[in-house]
Amino acid sequence: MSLLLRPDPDPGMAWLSARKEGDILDLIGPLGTGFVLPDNVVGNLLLVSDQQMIVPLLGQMERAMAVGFSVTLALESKRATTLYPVAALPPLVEFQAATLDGSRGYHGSIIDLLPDLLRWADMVCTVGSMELYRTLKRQVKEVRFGAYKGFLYGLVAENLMACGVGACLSCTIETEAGLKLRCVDGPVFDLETLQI
Amino acid sequence: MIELAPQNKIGLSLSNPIMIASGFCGYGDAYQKLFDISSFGAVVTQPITLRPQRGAIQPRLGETKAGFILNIGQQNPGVKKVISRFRKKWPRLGASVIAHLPADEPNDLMRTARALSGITSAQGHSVLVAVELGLPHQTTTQAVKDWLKAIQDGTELPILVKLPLSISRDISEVAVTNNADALVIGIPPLGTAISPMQGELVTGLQYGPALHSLALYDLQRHADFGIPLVATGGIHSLADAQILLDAGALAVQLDSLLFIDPKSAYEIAWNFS
Repeated sequence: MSLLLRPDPDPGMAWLSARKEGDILDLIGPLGTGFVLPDNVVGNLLLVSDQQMIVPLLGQMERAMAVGFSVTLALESKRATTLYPVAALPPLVEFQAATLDGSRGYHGSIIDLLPDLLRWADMVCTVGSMELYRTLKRQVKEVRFGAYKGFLYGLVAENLMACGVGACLSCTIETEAGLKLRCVDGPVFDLETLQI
Repeated sequence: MIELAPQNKIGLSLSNPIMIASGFCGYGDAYQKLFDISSFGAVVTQPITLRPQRGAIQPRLGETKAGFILNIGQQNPGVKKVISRFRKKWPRLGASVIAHLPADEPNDLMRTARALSGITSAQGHSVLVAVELGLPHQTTTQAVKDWLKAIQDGTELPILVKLPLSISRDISEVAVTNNADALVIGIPPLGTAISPMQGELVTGLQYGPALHSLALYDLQRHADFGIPLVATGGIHSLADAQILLDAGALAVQLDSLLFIDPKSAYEIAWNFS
């Protein structure tokens, strides 16, 4: 198995980054609810991120392409050198890059490119900041003339988790149906159900 | 078998001295996908109150040196919903289930205890084997008397009283003289940590391996009480559990190890089964 890790001051991530090939890792999982695809439907899938941790989107990308979705991956980064390498993407994936320093793709935030992408998409999966999620929710309402469930899914990872199995109740998140647990009910949620 | 309530007409016999502490296995089924819960002598549920409790606002978790702070604030859906969701699951877990009731208004405690002890099997036995009363860090002897009486008015099930570590002796004594069946030593102390994601402070119970020496000290403090003792705090290995059992605990409860290394927690229980 490969690990794709970002630089992170968290002691746990630092420990994980220091593992070497051949080390044994004791893992539990898979935990929670991930990105899914609708049954018996194909269409246009938009994958969006404003951060470097896009690995969950790559899995969704592969699954979607395998069943016939058209996929666009829209990523924002500070500069070209910290963008996910386009050479590693399947050739049929449409790649839209936005860099804050203008060194690759659109010069500015990925948010500026979203309206046209949201009109094209039949489903959106995103991994990023809560600010991105709030922007996406707002833009979906504006360009698609209303918000509805089953369109916009996001991975919420902005809090610590202790147990991962729903025992500790430390990872609650406010939804329209009351408090849910990110480790069991998420970490992927229909963003239309979240009160963010 | 380990008898934790010899003075109670129902009694509380466990096949294994290793239990799971309240707050570390949901309502008993949280780890079912990872290991066989029936290897444990008993599971103590999350807090159950009469009315639903929303619990503490975020952040609820903070990491500390060799441990963590947890503050869920008694979040639970209320006794009615707990019963409706778990009355059929509990008998199938294979482990004895003890309901944890945090200290509350006496009338509410009585009604909660009564509702829980009303869940019976086809043979007419209570599905739950005992009630555990969790005391707050600051309390009075009168309050402890009132809470115990309230639960005794609601149920004949054995009552374990979970004491905060380093609680004053008069609190422990009043629990014993008011017919607690066993004492659980003990609820962790309060601490504060910084939650890294938002940078906010989180205050709650401090869990971790460092609590083992506090639990052992308090266990020795209660050795002359003449009542069954259960110890909990910082048990992260078979040796940790054995030290507390050798020091006079009839049973022990695992807590933080469940989150840090659930497989090791299971192996400790399996070793005793």
